[in-house]
Order: sequence, then C-alpha cells, then structure tokens
Amino acid sequence: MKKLPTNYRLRQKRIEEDRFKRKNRPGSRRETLPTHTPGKPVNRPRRWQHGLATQPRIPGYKQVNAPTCIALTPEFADSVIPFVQELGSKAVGGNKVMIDFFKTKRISALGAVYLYSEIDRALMKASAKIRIRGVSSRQVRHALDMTGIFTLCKYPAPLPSPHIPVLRGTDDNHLSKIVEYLMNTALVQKELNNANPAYAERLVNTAISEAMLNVKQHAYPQSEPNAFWWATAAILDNNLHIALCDRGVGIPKTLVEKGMFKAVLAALKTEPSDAEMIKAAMEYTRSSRKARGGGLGSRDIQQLVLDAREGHLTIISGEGYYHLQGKNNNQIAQKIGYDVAGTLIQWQIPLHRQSEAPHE
Amino acid sequence: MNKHTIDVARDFTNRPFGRYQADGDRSGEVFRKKILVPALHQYDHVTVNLGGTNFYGSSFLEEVFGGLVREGFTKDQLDRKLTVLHNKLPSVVTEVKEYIKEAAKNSA
Repeated sequence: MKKLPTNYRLRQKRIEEDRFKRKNRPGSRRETLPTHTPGKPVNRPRRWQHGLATQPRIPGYKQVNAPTCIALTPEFADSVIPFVQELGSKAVGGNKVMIDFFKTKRISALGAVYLYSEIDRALMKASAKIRIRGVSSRQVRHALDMTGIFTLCKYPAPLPSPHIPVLRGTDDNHLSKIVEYLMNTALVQKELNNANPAYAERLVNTAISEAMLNVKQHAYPQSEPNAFWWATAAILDNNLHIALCDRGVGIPKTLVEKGMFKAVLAALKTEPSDAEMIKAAMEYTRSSRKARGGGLGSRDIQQLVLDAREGHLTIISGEGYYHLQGKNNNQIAQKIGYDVAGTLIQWQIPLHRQSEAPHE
Repeated sequence: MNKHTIDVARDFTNRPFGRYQADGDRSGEVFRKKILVPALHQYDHVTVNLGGTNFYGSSFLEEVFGGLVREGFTKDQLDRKLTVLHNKLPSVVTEVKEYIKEAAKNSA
C-alpha cells in the first residue's frame, strides 16, 4: 500500500494529485472532452452552462454567502458589513453556520481581521459551530490560512508560516511579537528610516501600541468585560499591512459621549457625518501636541504613514471611512452605508525593491 | 549635591505601555508616582535614562514628564533637577522637553 505523509496538508495535497491523475488518465471522460478553441463558446457540463453553479445547502447549517470581495473600501463595505452582521446574527444561540466562500475572489488584510473578529465573538459568546466551504480562489485560501480563520473554525492548523495570524488581546499583549515580525522584515526599516533602526522600531511600536491603548481607554463602555482588539501584520502583494480592529462603540460616538475635541467638532456643521468627525479629529491631532487623553494617540497612529516614503492609513468607524495618504497628506472622508460596529485601522506601506535608492 | 540615575528599562520595565494607572502597572502614571517623583524629592539631581528600550508611546512620555508639571514641579525646577537621556533616539529627548514646555504653558 502506498505510504501517505503523516502531515495533514501534505497528505491532502497527495490525495488531490492522485485524484487529478486518475481523472485525467488516458481514456477517461475528461480526456475525451473536446478541447476549447479560442473564439468559440466553452463546452461546459450542463450544470455550469448558466454561470456559476450554486452549492446545495447542508441540512442543520444556516448558510451565509460571502461577497465577491471581502474588503472595507467604500466600494465593497456595503456588501461586507451586512455579510458579517448576518454571520453574527445567525450564530446567535450556538447555531451551526456554514460560510460559503464560493463567490469570493479576494480578501484584504482588514477584511480578514474584521471577519475573524466576528467569528471569534460568535464562538466566544454563543459557542456556535462555524464551518467554511466553497473556497475556490487561491488568494482566499491563503488569506484564510494565514490569518488563522481556518484554525479558529477548528480546521487543522496550517504549516508553520512566517506571517502573524490574527491575534486577540486587551492591552499590549502580543505587541512585541508583531513589532519583532515587522522589524525582522528588513524592508520595513528601509522604508521608514534607513539610518536609524531604533527610530523605525519606535515608530511602528508607537503607532500600534497607541491604537491598542485607545481601544483600552475609549473603545468599549466601562461595563464591557471583554474589551478586545484583533490585530494582524502581513505582507501581501509587496505591501506591508498592519490591521487592527475593535468591536466597541466607534470613534464618532466616543468623541461625542466623552466630550473630546469639543471646539473642533463645534466648528463643523450642525450634524456632521461620522467620516467628517473622524477627519476633523485626525487633522487637529496631526498639528497639535495639546490634546491630552487620546489625542496624542491618534497623532502617533498617523505618524507611521507620514514618515514612510509612501504610506496609507485607513480608519473605518461607525458609518465613516477615512483615508490618509502620507506622501502628500491627501485625505478622503466618505460615508458608508452601514455601521461597522467598532473601529478598524489599517496601515499600508508599499515595500520598494532593495535596488532602489535609499530614502533621504 | 546628591545625584541619582533611573534606568527605565532596568528599574521599571522594558515594555512601557499606557498613560494612567488604570492602563496597567507599566503605565506613565505608575512610573511617575512610584519612581520619578520620590527620586526628585529625595535627590538634588535625577537623570532618567530612557535607553534600553525604544517602546515609548507618546501617552507614556507625556504622562510621565508633562505630569510632573501638573503635579506641581515648575519648568525651572525640572530644568535644574532633571536630565533625560536616550542613547539611540535623540528625538525622544526633544519630545520630552516639548511635553514639559507644553504642560508648563497650559498650567500658567
């Protein structure tokens, strides 16, 4: 009998290869199918002829269909937030939920952290059972594997990887792990400050730790015992992504409830949108050291992308989307259709090639 | 003149985090109240060596040094009695001076 590897993933790979070989062996049905000629319609089996085949529902499981792209840009947020909310509501009471990723082609770092936080909350609160199926895209499989969503849903752990899975914490636990990972990525230091690695280390640490501190101090009501954040760091498509998410009340509500930046907010129109409030607070803290108790934190959060050669900061909170391009201070503040129920922050730093001239 | 040196990484923590006591035992308020203020009362001159770690958030630094002014020390007193050092990050020392200056301006 053929010996199979003991490692689960390697074994699955071998089984898949054998199955592929069997299906495509000379004389098999697939082998005899006519080959596709460019310009002519593809000869597909009947169930595929009218577009993508739908997967049959599994009895006992409530199904949630993931959207095509799980990202939190204004373009996709309006399909992602309802999907995540539906997932949370269906998992209430310990139900069995099946997430179908059949249509999903891409997951962003921030989208993965947001999804992870919802699954984690559902599993913590209601001891729900969540399964995954229909992962047809390689990028989606990689993202689910890398961020630890498969592991969270009790699938076998992936092979060891240098990436940081989504981590959950309440203060700065895991912070040193994230910073160490980023500092070990030599390119990160180069992008931030070629001359002084200590400066790069402090910049990265300060941005993340102040964001974590904001979660601890402001994100959740006092009565909330589980004031969690979820964070990850990954390099995708030659971009460094650091993403952090909390499921608290959101920045706009906190600003109003805690009376922060009163003068700044008073200068806005009578009922500013969430995005306008985030933008006003960010603009104020970027230019001032005066704000005590939360203000300095948001300045540090921005400093990481302002000091990088090219960097982007994205904040999504309440119904507001805020994007800051560090290079030229370009800002976008836009309303999104749904309340994200928390705050999501992403730092994105493009990593340039080693051969390029160092940043002065 | 009796002098004293506080090495934050050695005498307090190499992972400072947070502003207020409620943020944890490694916060700026804890460092100021338990270590820095007693030393400033006891010695004529105190040197705070911040080297040994680069993990300083602005909230921690502001609470430690800006908090000294809010606690009753004047800028002149601090200029005379306090020296802050960081062997790798001169920007941290500049930042600390700004926090003291800003707190003094606000309390005036």
